[in-house]
Amino acid sequence: MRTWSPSELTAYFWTQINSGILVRPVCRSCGANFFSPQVLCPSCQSDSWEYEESSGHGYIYSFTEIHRPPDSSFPSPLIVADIELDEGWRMFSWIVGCRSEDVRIGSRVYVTFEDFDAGTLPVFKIN
Amino acid sequence: MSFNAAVVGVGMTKQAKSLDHSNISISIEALNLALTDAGMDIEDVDGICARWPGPGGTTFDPGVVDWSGILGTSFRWVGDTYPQGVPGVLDAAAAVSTGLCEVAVVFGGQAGVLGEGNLAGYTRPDNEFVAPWGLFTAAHFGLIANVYFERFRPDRDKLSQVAATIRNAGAKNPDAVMYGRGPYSPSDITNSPLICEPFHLLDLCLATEGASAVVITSIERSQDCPKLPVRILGGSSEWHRQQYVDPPRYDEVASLGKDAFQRTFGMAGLSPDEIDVYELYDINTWEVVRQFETMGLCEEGEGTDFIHENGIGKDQNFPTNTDGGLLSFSHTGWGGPTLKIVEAVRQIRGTAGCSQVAGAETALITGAGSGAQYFNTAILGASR
Repeated sequence: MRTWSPSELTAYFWTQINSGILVRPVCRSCGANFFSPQVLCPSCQSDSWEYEESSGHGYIYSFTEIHRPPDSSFPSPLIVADIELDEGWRMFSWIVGCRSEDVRIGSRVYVTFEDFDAGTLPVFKIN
Repeated sequence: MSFNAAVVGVGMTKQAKSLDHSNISISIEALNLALTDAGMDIEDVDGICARWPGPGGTTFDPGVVDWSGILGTSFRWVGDTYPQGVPGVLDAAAAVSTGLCEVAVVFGGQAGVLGEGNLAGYTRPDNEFVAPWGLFTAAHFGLIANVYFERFRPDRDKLSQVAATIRNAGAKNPDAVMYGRGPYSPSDITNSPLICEPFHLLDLCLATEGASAVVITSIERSQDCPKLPVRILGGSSEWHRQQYVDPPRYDEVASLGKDAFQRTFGMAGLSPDEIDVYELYDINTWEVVRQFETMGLCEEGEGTDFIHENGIGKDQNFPTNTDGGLLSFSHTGWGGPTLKIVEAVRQIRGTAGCSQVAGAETALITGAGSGAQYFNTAILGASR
C-alpha cells in the first residue's frame, strides 16, 4: 500500500481518523461541506472553515470492483467507492465486509475504521 | 473565427513496450523526423510546446524552456500546456495565427521508463485522498462508467465490438505496438481478465514507449513546405476539475465535451457526421461510446447501439482510431495525445498506408475524457 504524507491542511483529518472519528471541512461563512480540504471554501472562497465530525452515514454514488490492485500489498478484489455522505460531501473509500454481489449503487453505508500497515483508514460497510 | 495555421510536418519514432532510449532522446528523434518532413531544421523553429521530462533542467516554470539549452536555440513563444496533443496544437495554432511565433513545434513521448513490469507512474495519481485507496486512472473511469451501465445497461457484446474493431485495426498496422495481435472477437474482449468493473484488460489502453511530433506554421508559409499542408479548422477545450483528485461523477462529467464539440464543429463549419476520420481518445472502450453520444451523433445511452448499426471500421460509416488507437497502436504518456494528431495528418495527406481511409479530407481528434475531468477536441482538414 502507498503511504501518504498529510499537509498542514489535512493533518487534523488524519489525526482524527487515528482516533476513530471522521471529520470534514464545514464553511463558517456559507455552511458548505466540502472535501478534499482546501485553503478556501470552494463555494464562497471564505477562509473561515473548521473540521466537524461527520455522522459517517451516507450512500454509494458509484463503485468499482478492482481485480488488479496497483501492487500486491492491497487486498484483492478491492471495492473502491465514491461515497456521498449525508452532510453533502464526497470521498473515495472502500466497501468492506461484504461480497461485491451485495453492493449496489445507492446502497446505504456507514463508516468504520481499519488499521493497515500504512496507517488507519476510514472504510465503509453496507447497512 | 479561424486559425491561420497548418500542420506542415509530422514525426513518429518506433513505438514499443519499452525502448532503449531516454525521454529526451526519443522526443528529439521525433522532433527531427517532423522537421525533416516539414523541410525545416531547428533554426526555423521559434515556438515550442513540449513538456520537459528531465532529467536535468530546473524546477522553474515554464519548464519547456529547458529544451532551449539542449536544442541550442531560443524561442519567441513557449507553450507549457499539458498534455501535448490537441491542447498543444491549439495553443501553437493560436500563437502562429497571432504572430507570436512563425514556426511552432509540439512534441513529446517517453522511453526507458516502463521496463519489465513497471507501472506507468502517471496512471497512479499521488494524492493522500486517492493513493491510499489503490485507485488508478482506469478505476476513476470505471466509477463513472458503472453509473452509465446501471442506468442504460449497454449490450456488453456490442461494447466489446468497439474494442475489437479498434484493436483489429492495430493488429494489421505494422507500426502498432500490438501489430499481429488479433484478430479479436467481442467475446475475446469480454473474456479477458477483469481489471476494474466494467473494464476488462482488452477494454483498456496501452502504456508504451515512443515519441511523436508536429510542426505548425502559418497558411502562407505552409505553401513553401514539401508536403500537403493540413489546416487546423477548429478546436476547443473544457477543463472541468483537476484530474484524478476528487471523485469524478457521471452526473457531472457525462456531457463533458459537448460544448467543446459544438464550438469546434462551429468553427470548422462541419457537422459531426461530415467528418471522414475520427481519432478519438480511446483510453477505454466506454469512453469512445460516450464521445459518440456527446458529439451529438446519438442520444445518451444509445452509443453502443449506434456504433453497432453504423460501424467504426475503416470502410464503415464512422472510421475510428484507424491506426489502432491507444488500445493497440501506442500510448506514450504525456506525449500520447500527439500520436492522434500524427495519424490524422497522415490520413488527410493520404499516406496512412494500410490504415488509410479512402479520400479522407477531414479528421476529428479528441483528448482526455470523463474520468480525467477535462476534454479537448480539434478538427484538421486538407488545405485546398
